Amino acid sequence: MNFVLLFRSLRDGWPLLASCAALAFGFTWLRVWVASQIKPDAFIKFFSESLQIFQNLLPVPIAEFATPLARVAFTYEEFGLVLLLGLWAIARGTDSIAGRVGAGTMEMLLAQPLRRITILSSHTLVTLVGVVVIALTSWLGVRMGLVVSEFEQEPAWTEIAPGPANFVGLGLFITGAATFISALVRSRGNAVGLMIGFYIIEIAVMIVARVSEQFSWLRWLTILSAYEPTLLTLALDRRPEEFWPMFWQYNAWLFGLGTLLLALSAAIFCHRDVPAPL
Amino acid sequence: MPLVRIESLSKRYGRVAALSDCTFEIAPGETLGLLGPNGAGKTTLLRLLLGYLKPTAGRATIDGLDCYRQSVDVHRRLAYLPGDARLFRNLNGRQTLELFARLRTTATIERALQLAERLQLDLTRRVRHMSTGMRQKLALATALTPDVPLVILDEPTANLDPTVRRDVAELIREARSQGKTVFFSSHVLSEVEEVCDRVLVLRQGQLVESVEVAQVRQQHRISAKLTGVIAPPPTEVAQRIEINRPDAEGEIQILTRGDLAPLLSWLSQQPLVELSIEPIGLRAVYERHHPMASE
Repeated sequence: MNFVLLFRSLRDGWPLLASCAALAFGFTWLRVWVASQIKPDAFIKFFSESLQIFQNLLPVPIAEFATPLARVAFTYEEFGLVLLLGLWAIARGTDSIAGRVGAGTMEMLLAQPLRRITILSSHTLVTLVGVVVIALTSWLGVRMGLVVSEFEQEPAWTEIAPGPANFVGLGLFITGAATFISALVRSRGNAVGLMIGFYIIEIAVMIVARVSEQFSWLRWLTILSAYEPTLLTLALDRRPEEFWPMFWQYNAWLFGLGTLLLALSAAIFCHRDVPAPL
Repeated sequence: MPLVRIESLSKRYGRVAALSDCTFEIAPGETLGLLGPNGAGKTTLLRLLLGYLKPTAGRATIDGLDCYRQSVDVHRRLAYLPGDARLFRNLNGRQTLELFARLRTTATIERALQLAERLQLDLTRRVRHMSTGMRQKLALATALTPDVPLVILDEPTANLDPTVRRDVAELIREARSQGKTVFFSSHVLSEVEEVCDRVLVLRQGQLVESVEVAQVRQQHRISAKLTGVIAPPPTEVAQRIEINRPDAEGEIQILTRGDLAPLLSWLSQQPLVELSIEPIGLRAVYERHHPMASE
């Protein structure tokens, strides 16, 4: 680890990180307050009368979903929060190799007596710290939301912990995937395009797997099947002894694949040609 | 023992050969110029030396270390300025110098600041607000700061005004006087001729010529009109000249190598008028391989 590079990477990344963390804090705070305003009976009635397809999209059965704990835990499945995490992880992951090669700063760094793995790890470490910071600030936002809101049966903020933990796992996976694509291509634009395309396909596969009985097997083809913060939060709250293995299994997929992709990225980067900047 | 050794080095991209079977050495303390038009393989050769590219065949070593496999150890021994140097856009000049000085044990911020002053850099300005020439000067200052035995510069004077070009040439001469080895590519023939000991010429990825600049400086072209029959030169002179046949108007050209003094006494006895003598220079060497090139 090179502390000069680490500090440089931190200084480069902090404006985006501060923005994402502040937005995550505000978003979750507001989202929890909104969840407190929902009346469970009306909520159940609305979904019961709507198309079955919408009920299938919910991570847990409708009766469970109407509980305060599930309504709060679902914050981690909101598009806005996942988008913030994706913005940070994709921006940093794609910049780590392709971005710097394309911008020409990589060849200036590589001209110094630095190992390629040192350059990559300094950047990636800051990205991963950022993922944890966004998860922690979002959790803090949930806590603030719980403080200022009134629920019929108020959940403890610690009960929500499986959500942010699963959220960190997703962040690690996205970072790994974005870095991996970044190691394969020359331009950051291509890396961002490929990563967004991949993510959209993952979401589409997940939706089809949930709404269609016939295509439910597709859930095995998307890593988003391992991102179930609401399900994990409820399961661990109801029957922790039974569902701890599931919690570890889901997070092991996200953490394991993310780590594997980071290792592959490093292997590719250490052996690839570094072309002249674009 | 040579500091840099290139053995049958080749780099291919699919069916395109960017560099083919290149072999040469650079002695410690030598200043070597690399000439060739765009696409001749100059930058590919330098990037292979830096270990940025994996050779398709052959090997490059610096101080006995493999440039690709031992690139970190190699980089401890060299400083490099890319042709199109890109620095961190959100840093100002001073922060840039500090960053690169901290990344090396052989570099000091004091030395970097001295160079910056010499190159008349405004260190308070952010890189993103600098002109191309200013950025190139800043990159040059970062490259020349470390005290290393080998300096590799890829077109160091591109985008620079004539005054700074002169300063860069002076910095290269200083590096040579400190015993450093300098290897640089350029399109500016006069600049290469001015500072280099030896010059390599690349064409379409192949090394086609290696000439000593001192020898080139001693080569001359003599043009004159013949008004009679030219006498055979003495053996000592004959070994160092090449007489072209007179054209329809009786004009002849004599190409010479080495000291002109013995030749001049023979020349003064020949039936020649309108005689002119001009140094051949690197341009003639370059144009042998790239006829249309111009400085």
